Parts: sequence; structure tokens; C-alpha cells
Amino acid sequence: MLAEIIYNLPEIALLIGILHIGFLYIFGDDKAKSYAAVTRFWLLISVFLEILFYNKNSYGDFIKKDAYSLLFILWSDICIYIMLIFSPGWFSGLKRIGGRYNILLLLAAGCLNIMIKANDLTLLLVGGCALLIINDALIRINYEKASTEPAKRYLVISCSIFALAFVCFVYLWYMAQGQTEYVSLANVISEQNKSLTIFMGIMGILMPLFYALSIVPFHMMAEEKTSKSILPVAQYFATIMPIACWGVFIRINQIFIPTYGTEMAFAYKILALISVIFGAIGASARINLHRIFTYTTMYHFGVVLLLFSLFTQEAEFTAFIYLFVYMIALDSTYMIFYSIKSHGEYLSSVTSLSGLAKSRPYTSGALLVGLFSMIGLPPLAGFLGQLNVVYELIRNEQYISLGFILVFMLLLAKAFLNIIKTIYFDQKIKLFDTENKYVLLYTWFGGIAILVLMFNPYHIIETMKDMFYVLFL
Amino acid sequence: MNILLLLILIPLLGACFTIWARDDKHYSVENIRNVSVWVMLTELGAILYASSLLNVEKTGIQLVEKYHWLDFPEVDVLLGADTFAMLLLLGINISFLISNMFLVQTDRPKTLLSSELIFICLLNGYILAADIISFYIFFAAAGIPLIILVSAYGGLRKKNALVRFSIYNLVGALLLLTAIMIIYSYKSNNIPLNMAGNVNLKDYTEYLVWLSIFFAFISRMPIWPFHYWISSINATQRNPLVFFIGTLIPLIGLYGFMRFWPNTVPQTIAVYAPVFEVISVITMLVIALTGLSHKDFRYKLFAYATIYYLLYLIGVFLPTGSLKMNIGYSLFTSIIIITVLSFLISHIEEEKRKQNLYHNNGILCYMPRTSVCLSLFILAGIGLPVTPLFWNNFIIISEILNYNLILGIFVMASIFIVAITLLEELYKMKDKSAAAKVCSIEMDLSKSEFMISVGCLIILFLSFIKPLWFVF
Repeated sequence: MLAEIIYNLPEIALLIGILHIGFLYIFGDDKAKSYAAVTRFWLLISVFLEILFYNKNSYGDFIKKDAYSLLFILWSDICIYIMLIFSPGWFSGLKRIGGRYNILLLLAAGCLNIMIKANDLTLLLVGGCALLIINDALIRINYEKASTEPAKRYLVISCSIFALAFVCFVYLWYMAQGQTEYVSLANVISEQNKSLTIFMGIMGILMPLFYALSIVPFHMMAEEKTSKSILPVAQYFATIMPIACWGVFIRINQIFIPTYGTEMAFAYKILALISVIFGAIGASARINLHRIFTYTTMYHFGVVLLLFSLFTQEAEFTAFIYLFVYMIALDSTYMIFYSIKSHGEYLSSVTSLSGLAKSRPYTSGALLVGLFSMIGLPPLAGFLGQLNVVYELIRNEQYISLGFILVFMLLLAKAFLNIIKTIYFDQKIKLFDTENKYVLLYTWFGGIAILVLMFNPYHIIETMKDMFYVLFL
Repeated sequence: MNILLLLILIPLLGACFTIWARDDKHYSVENIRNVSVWVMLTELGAILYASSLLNVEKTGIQLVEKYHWLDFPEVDVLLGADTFAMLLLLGINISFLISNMFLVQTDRPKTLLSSELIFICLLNGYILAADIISFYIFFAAAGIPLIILVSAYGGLRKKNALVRFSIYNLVGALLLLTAIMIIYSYKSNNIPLNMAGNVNLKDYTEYLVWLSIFFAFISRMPIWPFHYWISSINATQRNPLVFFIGTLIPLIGLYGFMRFWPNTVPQTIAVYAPVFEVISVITMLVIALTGLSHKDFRYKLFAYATIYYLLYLIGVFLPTGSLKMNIGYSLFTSIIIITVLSFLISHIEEEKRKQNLYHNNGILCYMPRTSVCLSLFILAGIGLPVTPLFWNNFIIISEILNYNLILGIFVMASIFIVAITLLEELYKMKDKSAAAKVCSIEMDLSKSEFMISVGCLIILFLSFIKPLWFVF
């Protein structure tokens, strides 16, 4: 009993963090910085404990802690930590404390951690449902009393998708005679004859993950999640959610590969290529930065899914590398959004960035680094991902898919060039606020990380490889 | 000592110093310029040291350095140099040193000189890369500082030029990436550049790979259908340093061909060389005629540079492997000539602007030093027999005539037209009868600038007497 409590200390630390925020509120602290500092502190404690007990399992087969889960938990928690450095500035600007946001973020971190560690479909579904409620609450944080329509739509669509997933879960549960632990489920599926209903059941289980990852055609809320939410929430949806969801997806994928690999490969490939096409076209057709990056993410996640359709260990690790370098670039781009302000208002349309380079050369430079990395130009980290993807697709003789990716990459590059054109050539139409030095420092830190990763990737990639390959043991 | 890595890192370090140099309103340009001049001097010293380690009798890559970069996929970065690479490296770096010494006043000096130094770092890396993956990395990366320079110093049409430039660059880079990764996947390892042709590719894959490589390099050269973007960038370029950097873009394509074509390209692809030669010679002729009809001296210089690059390209396509060093000597000279001419033209244009003159006619009559320098460099550029350009171009053209008479005649016609173009412009500027009366003698080159130009002439003359003077 004591051991179980100790092994669950990472989650308990997050709950204590929530209580601590509650105390702060009761005692009338009105500084957004204090709330964020407390959240960061308990998040760090949770991360530390996660590292300490990374292989100590509890609750029987429900949870499976290993180096793989630690990898994704560390990654998502570090992203949350970075986000918590920037968000107080945003809340202070509106004279808000951001208490609700911090509490929801800790809850979301806990849910995501559990989902990554989950070794049982039931636990995964419960975690997913809890996360749905938390996400809905996050979307509803809107201080301008703007329409709550997006939040309502999000709830309706998410509930529908979860309902469908639940039906599929019940079917698989019935078929497996109540065994929902991953390995047992995999064994049961492999013993059954191949059938369309089981395949549909599997796809139904994966559907909420596709929805969270904005894979076409499950991208209904992709744009609204980021463009209609407040900036810290948009960052959460753009960076943290996908990292954790990919962590879950990669693990759950392993259950169904031995039996339904061929069918799933075909389905993944179709979904991936449609996402690549939609992502590139969508990005070049939008003028809102959040929407552009949502579509950019759609393109890149399409590429990641395409690699998963190959169902080889090397391809899966390649997908992970690609995801890793892309998310670094995206994260550093979101940091830049915090430093683009005019009269206290955070800017999000491309046209509002006109002439940014003249008055904010360092911010523009950092944005340039992020954009170039996203299209895989050397010597930036994005190239590392691109190199791996091209190699893996060629090795598996996926020339047509490779052609698709590269052609639509050009379209995506054109979208980025429009941003660069606006920043560097257009006349300034807004007076930009002075940059926060800390924000600038972190922004450049992100840019430098993109460069350094490219120059000496050996150690970090080797470490990640060791942690990732635990999945296949 | 990892001298080749050092040759790449010195300009990069210089760029970092430049970015963080003191940004004082009055001394900013001077500070940053001094940093870049010292960086280039150090770089030249390192190149001379590396050259002293070369054995000129030996063919093939020497001074090989190997660095482990990745395990997944397995990539060891190889750096290496031969006499040709070192010659090119020296020519380029001397030119950049001259450029930095000539540079007096400019907008945004930090952006200009840090981008220039990053470009030098990447160009040096490109020339020294000895394996397919590092070759690609430097090939694609060299586009980034160029994009920044076009953004900052482009002319009126810089918006469209930027989009076109970036897309062409990216298309070229993606084609090369696909090709080298196909080659890589056949061996499951990074392979040296000179071994690329030894990989036994399947029929259609072989065509795919080599056509991709061909188009990737062609995308950096002003050959139809990629001819427009380079001229759209260079023709409107007022900054002499950016103009010079722009004229080096085709060199990236040419060097790519030089590395891949003569030894490595398989016979099935080499049979198509005549087609490429015809396209090249037609482009040469068109650019020569466009240069003749154009009024802007800078465009004429751009036409001159392009025609010489295309001449060397045809030399590369010839079924003889003996022209490599002649092309190297000739390239070394022409790069230095283009640099000095670019700055002399800028000086003349600047003075013209200050004096509110509408034309250049007779302007050299009031600029004796500029007149001497411009005359000598134009004459050297069109083949005055005191520089290696004369002797080596003579050999290249002889080989072309020997290979195909009609092709040779067209090549000679293009070179003749571009020579006429430059001489015509020189004549106009020396014609006192058409000179504006408002000119004054104070417009001339400063003594130090004159001395730099004379120094360049001495280097060219030395190279004529002993082409590998820097190897001791």
C-alpha cells in the first residue's frame, strides 16, 4: 500500500500543487507570477519523482512505467514548464491571476501522464474522458466575454467522438471477455479471425487520438482550438497535447500491428497523405498565424503518421525524431508570439507583423530560424528530421509518398515566405511594444537549441533512442 | 590539427563577433568592418597553411578529416581538399577580403557582414565537403544567408525575387536531398563524393538520381529555365558586396557539376552531355546579347560573370578530364576580377549620384586612378595576356573547338560579344567629349583603394607566372 502511494507521488505532487494554488487564492495573492511559480515548482517536483520512480509500477497491469513513458512525460512536462514561464506575462497584461488556468494545467498534466503510462484500454478511456472535460474548461477561459460557440462545438464534437470510441471499446471488451490490458488484448485479437468489425473497432479506439492530433478528416476543431482560445491555451493545444497524444498513440499502436498491420498501414497512409495535402494548402491559404501553424502541424503530423504506416522500429523512431525537432521549432515559434504585442494586444494576423524586422530584428531573426527549421533547411534541427524521413521512405521504396511530401513542402514553404515577406518588406502599420527581455532571452534560447541540436545531435538522439526502444522490448 | 574544420569555423566565429560587435552610431561600420577584415586575414593565413600541407603532385582528395555526426542513419562527415578546391577557396577568400577592405559605408552593416561571413563559412564547407551528406548540407544551407541578403538589400522587385529565389533554392535542395539519400540507401552508409557514381543503381533509379542531381545544380545557375531569378536579384543590386555574393551563386552550381560530373557520372547519363552543352551555349549567347543591349554597367558585369561560368560548365561537360585545373586557374582569376570591377562600378555610381549626373560618359577623365584600374581589370577580364585567365581560357576554348567546331564558334561569339560590351562601356566612360562639365577630380579612388586594386593585379600577375604560387 505504502509502496503504491510512493510510486504515485508524481501525480500526488500535482494534486498538492492544486491545493497550494487554492491556498494562494484563499490568502488573497493577486500576482499571476506567484501562481505560475507555484505551478512550476510542483511540476518540477512531479518530474523529479517521475524520474526517481520511472520503472516502479503500481496498480497491477493498469500502469506500465518505463523509459519510454518517462521520455514522453519529461518532454510534455518540460513544454508545460516553458509555457508557465511565459503565461504569467499574458495574464498580468489583463490584470488576471490565471489561477483557473494553472489548476487546469496541473490537472491536464496529471491526466496526460496517466494516459502515457496507461497499460489498459479502460484506464486510457477514463483518462481521455477526464482530459476532455479539462480541455473544455481550458477553451472556456475567455476574458473578453466573447462567444462561447467554439467551446460548445468542441464539447459536442469531442463527446460524439468519445461516444463512438466508447462503443468500439465496449465491442472490443466484449470480444476480449473483459480483458482490456494491452498485451492480453493483443493476444485475443491475434487469436480471432480477421474481420472488418474488429478493424473498425480498432480504428474507433484510435479515432479520439486522431482527433486530438488533428489528422484529416478528424480535424474539425483543429483551427478553432488554437485560434479562438487565449494564447496560453492555444500553446497548450498546439504543443503539449500532441506530444502526449503521440506518446499514447505509439504505444497503443503496438497492440494491433501483428494482426492488422497491413490494413492499418493502408488506412494510415491515406489519412497521412490527406493530412499532408490539407495541411500545406490550408497553411498557404490562411492569414492568422495560429491557423497557419495549425495547418503546418497538420502537414507534419501527416508525415509522422506516414512513417507509422511503415510499421518498422526504425520508421517509428524516425517519426519520433521528426516529431521532436518539429515540436522544438513550433514551441520556439509560440514563444515568439508572446513578444509580438502592440498596445498590450498580442498580435496574431500575418498583416499585423508588417515591418516587424525593422523595429524588432532579434524577434524576427528568431522567427526566421523557427520557420526555416520547420521546412527542414540545414543547418537547423529540422533538417535532422527531414533527412531521416527521406531516408526511411526511400529505404521502404515509398517514392510516391515521398514525392507528395516534397511537393507539398514547397507549398508550405510558400506560406512561410509570405510571413517572411510581410515581416521584412511591408511597411510598418503598428507600433510594437517593447520586448520583454526574458521572453527574448528564452526565444533565442529556443533558436540556439535548434542550431545546437543540429551540430551535435549524437548524444541526445542516442539517449532518446535507448528510451524509445524500450517500447519494443 | 583539424585545419579544414578550422577553415569553416573561422568565418562562423567572425560572424558571431560581428553580430555582437559594439553598435555605436558613429563607429559601427568601422568596428564591424575591422572585425570582418581581420577574420578574413586569419582565414587566408589558415588557407595558406593548409595549402602548404598539400602535395600538388597527387591527384584526389587530401588532408581528409572525419567526424562522427549521427548513428541513425549512420553518418560520418568527411572533409577533404585537393589542389583545385584549395585554389578556389583561396580565390573566394581573397575576393571577400578585398570586398571588406573596399567597403566604406553601408546600410545595416551588421546584417551585411554577418551574413557575408556566414555565407563564406558555408561556401568553404561546400568546397571542402568530401561526402554526399555534408555536401548537401552546405549546398542547401548556403541559401539562407542569401535569402537574408536579398531581403535586406534587394532592389525594387525584391519581394518577388525573394519568393522565386527561395522556391528555386528549395526545389534544388530537395532534388539533391532525394538523390543523395537514394545513393545513401544503396550503400546504407555515407559515401565519399567521388564514389557516388560507383553505386549500381537500377535503370530508372539511375535516371531519377542523376537528373535530380543535374537539376539541383542547374537551379543555382542562370541556365534556362532557371535563368531569370539570378538576374532579377543581381541586376537591381546596388550594394557591391551583395552583388558579388550574388555572382557566386552560379559558382555553387558549377562546383557541384565539377565534383559530380567528370569522374562520377555513369556512362548512361554522360551520353546526354551534348544536350546540356547546347542549352548552355544558347543561354550564353542570349545573355551576351542581353548584356550588349542593356544600359546598366552592373548588368553587363553580371552577363560577363555568367558567360564565364557557362564556359567553364561546358568545359566540365566535355568528355575530357584534363581541364579541371585550367578551369580552376581561370575561375580564381575571374572571381578576383569580378570583385574589383564590382567595387569600381559601385564607386563610379556613387560619385555619379553625388554629382547628380545622369550618365557615365567621360566620367573616368576626372578619375585617373579609377580609370587605370578599370581599364586594366576590364582588359584582364577579356583576356589580356598577363593573367591566368588568358592562357587557361585559351586551352578550354581550344578543347571545345576540338570537340565540336560549331559549339566552339558559338562560345567564342558569346565571349567576343561580352568583351565588346565591356569595352564599349569603358570607351564611353573615357570619352571626354561627352563628359559632364560639373565633374571634379576629388571623385577619384582613394590611395588605399588604388593600392588594393594594384595589389590584386600583382596577385593576378603572380598567378600568371606561377599558378600555384601559394603552395610552398
